Amino acid sequence: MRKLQSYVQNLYRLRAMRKTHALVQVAFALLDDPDGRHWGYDTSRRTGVRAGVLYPILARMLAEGWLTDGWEDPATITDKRPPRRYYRLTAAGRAELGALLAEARKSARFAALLRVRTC
Amino acid sequence: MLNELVDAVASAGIQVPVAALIFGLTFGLAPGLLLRVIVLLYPKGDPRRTELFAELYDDEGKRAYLERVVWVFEQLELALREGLRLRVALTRTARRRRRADRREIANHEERITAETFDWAQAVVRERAITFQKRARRTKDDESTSH
Repeated sequence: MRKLQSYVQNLYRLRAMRKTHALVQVAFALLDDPDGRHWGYDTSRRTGVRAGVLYPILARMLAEGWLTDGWEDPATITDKRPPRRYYRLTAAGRAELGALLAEARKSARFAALLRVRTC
Repeated sequence: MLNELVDAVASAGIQVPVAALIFGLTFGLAPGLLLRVIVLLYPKGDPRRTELFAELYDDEGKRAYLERVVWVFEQLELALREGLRLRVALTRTARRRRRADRREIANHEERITAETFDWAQAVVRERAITFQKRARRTKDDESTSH
């Protein structure tokens, strides 16, 4: 299991992360609550980023060490469902995503996106 | 020929709605089951298998029916992009490792063969030297006796 995880992390670390609209949106959502737990589906709904795009971004952030992950405590679940996986920002992640958003604010490419966020 | 074609179209005309109905029922009534099949595209032990399944039942009841179906479709896309890629990469690595192991075994055998050959040559050489020495000695003995 650990072997597979490290393999996956290496696989994602091969290419540098590109600054895309989806990445900026995810960065916004994560930095909205920098100390909180973030759930995949919830983040997807809040950002409007499709699952097919969101999960690879989260996997990359995990590989870079910007996020840590964990599983919900089954004792706290009241519904009949399996525990969910959560993501939490690390100090490095907060710094990196903060820098990314600062860059995005200066770039004309993300101007429309930032206008929507500030409205 | 034409009759066969008409028959094929007529039979397909029944089969297509039946297939669509089965597809619709599967997607509509058992998205969980379908998601279980979809996550199998991920390699064994991948946390995404459990994660995606748990996300389907997140805020159950509050999520619209159509939204859940769309979610399952999205997971299919994700599993094809991410899971299948991982599976292919893992299979390739495993194959490469197996090939390398086999090569190592072959090298090992070659090494043993070479070592055995060297040893055999050394033995033969030594025996030849001993034989020559012995032959020389016997020749010397013969000459002294004459």
